[in-house]
Amino acid sequence: MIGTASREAQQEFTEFASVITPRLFRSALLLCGDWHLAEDLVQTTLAKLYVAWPRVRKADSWEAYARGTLTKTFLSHRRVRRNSEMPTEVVTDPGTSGRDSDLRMDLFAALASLDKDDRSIVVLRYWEDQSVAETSRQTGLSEAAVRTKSSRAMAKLRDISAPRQEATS
Amino acid sequence: MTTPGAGTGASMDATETLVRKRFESAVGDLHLDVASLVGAGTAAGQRMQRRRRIQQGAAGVAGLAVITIAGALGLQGGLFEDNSSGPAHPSNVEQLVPSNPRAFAAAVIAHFPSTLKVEHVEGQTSHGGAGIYDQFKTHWTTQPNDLLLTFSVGVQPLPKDFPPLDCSGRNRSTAGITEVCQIEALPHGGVLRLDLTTAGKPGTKERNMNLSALADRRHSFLSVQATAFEPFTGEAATLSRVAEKILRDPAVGAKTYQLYLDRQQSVPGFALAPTASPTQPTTTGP
Repeated sequence: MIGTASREAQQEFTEFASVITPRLFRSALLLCGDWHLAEDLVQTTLAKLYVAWPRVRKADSWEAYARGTLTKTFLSHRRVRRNSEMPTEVVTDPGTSGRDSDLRMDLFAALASLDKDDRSIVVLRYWEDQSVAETSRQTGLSEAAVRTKSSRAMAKLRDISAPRQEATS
Repeated sequence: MTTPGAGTGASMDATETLVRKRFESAVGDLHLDVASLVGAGTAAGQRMQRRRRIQQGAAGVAGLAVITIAGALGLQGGLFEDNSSGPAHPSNVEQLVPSNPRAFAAAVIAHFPSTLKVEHVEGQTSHGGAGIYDQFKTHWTTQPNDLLLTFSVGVQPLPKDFPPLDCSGRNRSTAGITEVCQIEALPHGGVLRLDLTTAGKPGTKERNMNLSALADRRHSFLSVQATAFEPFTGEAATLSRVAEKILRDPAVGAKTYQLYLDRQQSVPGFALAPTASPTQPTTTGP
């Protein structure tokens, strides 16, 4: 823990957190589709990283550790609060508006149609560019399950997005 | 995203490429207040760490004498050694000046409303080079949800960089989290910090609460922590009052502190550093 450790460790954590937070937030936003919930997820993830900092420092990849923490936090969060899914129609965020916002809403709506495991897999595989093996490790699913769910999720995203794609093309 | 209907590898690749582009366009250029997020995450980590430290402080020291008392009868009958079914009368508190976790528990229990039923109590005393601690956990049955409270009391030489008891940046409200912090002086010279954190969105059932009250006089701590689950609005108010009572009560406050201070003298190597000027209490909360 940092509390009794050196200022150097504290500074190290702050520097790492400053670098990783934008990346974590974008992943969190894709995972949950809600700006404020994404902030909560990132905050919780950073808190866990802070407490576990001595372990994080020994990890081969700090970023992978942080990503894994975010994924686990999201999965456990959704398990606990699966009845409080936020409808994407009421998403409000301080991001850009107009067409970008419409595209984002469409994307969040498409992602929201996936279950939490599938969503995690899609985000890890196609946003974080993680391998099947790494995705398997972070989600706790077998590699075969990751492949199957990944294909199914992509097919679903393709079907959902197709009409919009045609309309906007 | 791509030509619908095809399930071939090529179309899947096209879909994957398009999904990546959609991800990038959706979240790639967001403007974030990174410093604020990092600050909030760090503060949350510090709180999490502090809670763990207090909870584990006693357990981490070797040479423990562990007392486990299970069941409501174990507490209300065994501890007070009478057959009263409600909490101890405040007049009993004086003769129950804590000398061990059991007596401390009894003194604290005296302040709890009779509507709370004790389900389970665990207590332990830890002796070590850093001091003596008594800690106990209580599990209360409340309707409709249970309540878990942890009390730790002891005296220890705190590190020089131990942060002062203030409320800097602790009164705020962000999405789903509200924090209220209040500092005030105690009659016996300590400083009381009431720190209430609620998390979760109104209307949901998964809210939880952590309340901690920390009394600091020189190098000591006395804390009360409570965790409850929604709905806890009533419990939060009750606990806040209880925490204040406990820490203001001379039997649990000043006398407890002195008692522990006296006991420290028998611990080899224990010494408190000279005291700096006491913190000037300020009220920053509502």
